[in-house]
Amino acid sequence: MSEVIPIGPFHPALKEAAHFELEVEGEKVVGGDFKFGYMHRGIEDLATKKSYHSNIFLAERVCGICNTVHSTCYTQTVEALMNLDPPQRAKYIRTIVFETERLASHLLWFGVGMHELGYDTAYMYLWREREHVMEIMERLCGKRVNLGINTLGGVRRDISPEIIDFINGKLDIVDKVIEKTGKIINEDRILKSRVKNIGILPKDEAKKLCVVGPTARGSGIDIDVRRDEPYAAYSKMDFQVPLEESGDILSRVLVRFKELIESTKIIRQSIKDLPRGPISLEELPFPNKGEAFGRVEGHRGELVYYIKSNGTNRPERVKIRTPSVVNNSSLLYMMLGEKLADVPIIIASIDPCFSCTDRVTIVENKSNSRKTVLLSQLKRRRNN
Amino acid sequence: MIEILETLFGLFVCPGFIFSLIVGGLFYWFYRKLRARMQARIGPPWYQFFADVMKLFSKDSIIPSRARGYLFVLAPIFSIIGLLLVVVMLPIGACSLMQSPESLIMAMYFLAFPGLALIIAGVSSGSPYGAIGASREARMMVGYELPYVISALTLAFHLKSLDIMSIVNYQFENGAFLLKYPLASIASVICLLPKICRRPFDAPEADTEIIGGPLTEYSGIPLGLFELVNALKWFIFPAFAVTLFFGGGTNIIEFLLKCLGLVILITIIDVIFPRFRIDQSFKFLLKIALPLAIIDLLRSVIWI
Repeated sequence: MSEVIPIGPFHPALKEAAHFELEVEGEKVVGGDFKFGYMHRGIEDLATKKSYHSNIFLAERVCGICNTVHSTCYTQTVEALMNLDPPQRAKYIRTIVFETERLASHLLWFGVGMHELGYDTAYMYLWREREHVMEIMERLCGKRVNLGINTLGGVRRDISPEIIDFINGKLDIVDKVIEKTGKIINEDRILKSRVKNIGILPKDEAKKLCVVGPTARGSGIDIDVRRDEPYAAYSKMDFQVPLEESGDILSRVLVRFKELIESTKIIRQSIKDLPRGPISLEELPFPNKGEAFGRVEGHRGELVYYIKSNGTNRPERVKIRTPSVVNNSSLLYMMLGEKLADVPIIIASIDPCFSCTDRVTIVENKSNSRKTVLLSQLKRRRNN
Repeated sequence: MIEILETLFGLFVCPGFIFSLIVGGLFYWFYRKLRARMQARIGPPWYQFFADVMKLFSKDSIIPSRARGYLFVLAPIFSIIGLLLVVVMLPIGACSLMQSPESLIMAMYFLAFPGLALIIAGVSSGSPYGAIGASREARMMVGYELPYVISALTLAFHLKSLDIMSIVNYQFENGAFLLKYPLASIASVICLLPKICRRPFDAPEADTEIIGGPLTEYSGIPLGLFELVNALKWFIFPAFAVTLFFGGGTNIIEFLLKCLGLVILITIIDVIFPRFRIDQSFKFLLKIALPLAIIDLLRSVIWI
């Protein structure tokens, strides 16, 4: 006998609105259905009605925590359309901001994960220490959340020697924070028992579901856009891509933890050999007719932008594929057979970002029934 | 006539309802403040609990249509009555109001009321979160009641008496039972955590998993009553432990200070641990707390 437990749209475990209907037998999850789309904002359509330049600000607002990821990916795709190569210094600054944001995002995620496990003390401490990373971003960009650093053909703010000293000082503090985080993860036995061998996503299943980012690397799939197809200044950086084989929550935690260390390494390298020169191009050409495809390694995984241009100052089509779109589909596989108490941390373990993900919802007004729509049915619907 | 009035005064004012509510409210605040300071937060002001209760009592109470109305409302009252009956049996400051040769057994029964009330609340609220919370609380009760009762029975076997007064008087003369039966004391303190629903044993009310567990559907006055229960728990469970294992108190100040010590201990444990999953906490209670209690029970049966 099973009963249905609704999680969401509004639930303390979810930071954004999404709906999970879980079939449970006692505490064991035996089935489930997910519904997203509560925050569909029509951004792709809006992007076709704005100029290339104003779309930078739109792209930044797709997601709060990974706004530089979106704006970097967008500007790089448009620069490809324009056949532009931004100055080296701009590329380095992009790398610095990108990795600083990764530090902020992962530290935030660690706090959220601890909170889901009921470890509020670690959550409070991590979020307090995250403040140092926020201060770095404030000094770099003048803002703390929506950084607004990227522009077409470069970046908008330069880095002065004082800021470099400031960042170096703060990074030493961040190193200590990371060390402490590692201590919590490695030494707390209750915490380990809550994440070890829970929510396992084996390698072949992960490949089938096309997961990306730390979720994929936690399952032993060795992908990272920063290394495989370097953008910005990543080709000159020396860094490792952390990999864990076991595919449980602990391995995803460890991947993110090692990425924190790698991020500080990348920031240190890029401020050390920051080249001199201008930070942006003076003149921008009109984009060529045609299409461009850009991808970056966001904090949650690979982010893809596809832009089609018809030679005017507005894009004809902008397609965004956020990492959470693909990662969300792996949630059900991880949850089946686990306890209800583990569901919040399983959801948190892929670091989902629902509002960036939300696309189109089909609402059937006439009948109030709910059904699963298969791809073949959707095709038939389109043909009719 | 005067005796009846005295009993009523004792039950409702001191050391009954109002006294234990004020002390419990302050202990509850102290827990929250200390926890906040240890987590680098500011924490609430001292009157936060009383303000919360006043606000809740002035609000509309909604009884969901799927709930069983009378059980839904009676559950917190049931819990308050149980706790009040315990407080009159506790010798707060050397002498208790109600004395009976079987008071230990009675107190153990009444102390199970809050847990039972939570189960009733969860089941009667008609919400899936309530049902899950109630089933968790029921599983947890199996885990914690056994070591809790056994650790108290250790003392009864030692003294060949079920009177709480005799336990306290023995401790006044021979020192606290903490020194004589440390393992039973530890088991009893471990069981305090699930009784007050604190980490690592707060799975029945785990907010990130099942929202508020049994209390999800509560609002207004019934929720206010559950807040009162919460405050009473913060006083009465530590007070009972102080009475049994920590030597009671010859006057009220000493008694309350010992209770405060226990509150601080509970707070520290609450701050430094994450939450156990329900099966993990069940295993922990049966694998660690229960053997500790049984070892001391055997000692008291065999060696005396």
